[in-house]
Amino acid sequence: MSPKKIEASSNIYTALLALVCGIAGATAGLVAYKCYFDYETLFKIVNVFR
Amino acid sequence: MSTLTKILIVLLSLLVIFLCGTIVTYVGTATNYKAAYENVEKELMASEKSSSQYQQQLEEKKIAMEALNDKLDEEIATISSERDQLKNDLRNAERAKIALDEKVQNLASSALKFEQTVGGMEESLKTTRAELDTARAEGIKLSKNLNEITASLEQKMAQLSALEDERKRLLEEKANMENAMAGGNSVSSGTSAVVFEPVTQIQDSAMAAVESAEEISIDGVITAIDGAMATISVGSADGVQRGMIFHVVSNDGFLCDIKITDVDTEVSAGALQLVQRQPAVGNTASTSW
Repeated sequence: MSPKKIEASSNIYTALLALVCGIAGATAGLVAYKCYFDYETLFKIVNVFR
Repeated sequence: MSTLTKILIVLLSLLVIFLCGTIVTYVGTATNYKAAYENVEKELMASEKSSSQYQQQLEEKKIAMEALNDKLDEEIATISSERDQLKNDLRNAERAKIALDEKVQNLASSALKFEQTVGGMEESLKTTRAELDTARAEGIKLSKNLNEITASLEQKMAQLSALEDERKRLLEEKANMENAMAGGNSVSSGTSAVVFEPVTQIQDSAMAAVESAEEISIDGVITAIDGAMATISVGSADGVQRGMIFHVVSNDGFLCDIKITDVDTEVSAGALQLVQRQPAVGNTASTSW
């Protein structure tokens, strides 16, 4: 028995998945941009009451 | 690719799109709390700064107010002391005023009494002067009568003396005649008759000893001259009567006459007449030349 050959699908669903990944990445970039330029940090929680 | 995978891909895509849309919407509309915090912090700093300034101003105002209060307290104390002093002065002045009013009333009553006394004394003085004038006039009249009586008495005495001498002379003549008659009877008629002279001589008749009162000279001095009027230093006490004429003379001769118009006890006044020269105070005025 010969091994089954796996091929990557390349259809509208993969394109949709790629678009969704792009949208998610753009959203993450937007969030990172806003966080950095508004609070000057990406992950740290700003301590308001210094 | 199985159908389930396709369905999962589609659902995942929808979910991602929904979530990403929601996240984008939230991020786009989210409030920038840092900027808001900074603004609030700036406002807080400004407020604290202004608050400190206001506090400082309040302290300065309090200090100024305390100083002003102290100053006003001092002024109030000073004014209160001055007010007390003025009250005391007012009370003293009122007491002095009451005392002075009493003095004034006493003096007024005394003045009224004194005025009444002076009025009584003036009336008494007038009465006394009138009585004195009357007494002086009566004295002058009595003096005139006394002079007249004295003159008459002396005249009578002189007449009596002359009559006594005449009586003596007649007695002597009688005695001589009786002797002659007795001798005539014994002596012959051829002898001549002897003429006998009485020892007592006939004297002159009696004369008035003094002049009449009207002929007594009155001498005075001019004491004042006012126009055509003159005042002399003799009055009714010296025998001056209204209408008498006084002749004013000086070393240089006759000056004028003064006809008496008003007579007082000690002084007289009259009008100048026959003025040859203006008389002066001190010139002699006399009723005789």
